[in-house]
Amino acid sequence: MKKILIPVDGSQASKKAAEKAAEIGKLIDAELTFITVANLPTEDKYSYFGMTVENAFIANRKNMLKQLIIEEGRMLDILVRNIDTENLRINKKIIVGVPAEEIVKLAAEEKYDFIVIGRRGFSKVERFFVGSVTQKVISASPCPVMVVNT
Amino acid sequence: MKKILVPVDGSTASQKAATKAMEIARQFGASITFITVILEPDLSKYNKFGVLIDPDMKKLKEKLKENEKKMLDSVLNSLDLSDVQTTEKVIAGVAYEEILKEAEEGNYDMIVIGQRGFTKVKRFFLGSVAYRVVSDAVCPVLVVHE
Repeated sequence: MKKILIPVDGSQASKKAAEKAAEIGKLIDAELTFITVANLPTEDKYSYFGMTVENAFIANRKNMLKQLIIEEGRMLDILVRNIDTENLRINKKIIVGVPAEEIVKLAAEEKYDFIVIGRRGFSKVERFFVGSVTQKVISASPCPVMVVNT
Repeated sequence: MKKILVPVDGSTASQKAATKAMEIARQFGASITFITVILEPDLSKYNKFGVLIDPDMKKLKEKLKENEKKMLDSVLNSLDLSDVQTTEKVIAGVAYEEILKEAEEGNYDMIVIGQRGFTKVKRFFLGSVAYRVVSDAVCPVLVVHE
């Protein structure tokens, strides 16, 4: 049984990647794992300079993260529901951390055969044709990466 | 998934890509086109100044193509080609342009490319050819590591 990892962020490109992965999954009878990474900047940078971070801020941050995970999960559900995954084995995962790092780590730990990823997500810096997360995933991935355009 | 394009430059990465592509083609029942691109020397710059071109220079392109074909053959010889329909192409031009053109005109479903060929500039995450192909390809691109 082949395992395919599909990182999604809700963008058009990630939707295309998910559709392509489902199409391929059916051909080679693979198990698909859709993941999304919830990323929230840490407060470490403030404490580093000896600033006292208010407890209220930290508590608020925790709430924000909780909310973010809920929203990411909702996005993931909708995205997966909208593609044709009939007869396919599907997993969904929400991970907290820095996107590229978590994607590569998961691919290595759980030994995926392929990663299918969109060419660029929401970032609008057109100086580079390939999005930064996709770039990092391609360069650090332990398995072949399929890049799908919008 | 019926047609797969595999650019080959003789590097380890491109050999890995070719091996992976064969594995995929077997599963999908797809056909593979292996393509390699020679950089054609531009002789017009000599003409402009009235320099006489050595007749051997004109043979250069043929020689380059011949060698490139040999390289491609030896890469293919190292693969198990059974059960898969394969085609070989040697094209003259700029590598990424020709690869993209072939992918578009031939209506390929997928490109399988090695992550790093012979240029070792580590500053870039991908080789320059693979980067351009990933950036501009009309079909999905599978990047295989060295």
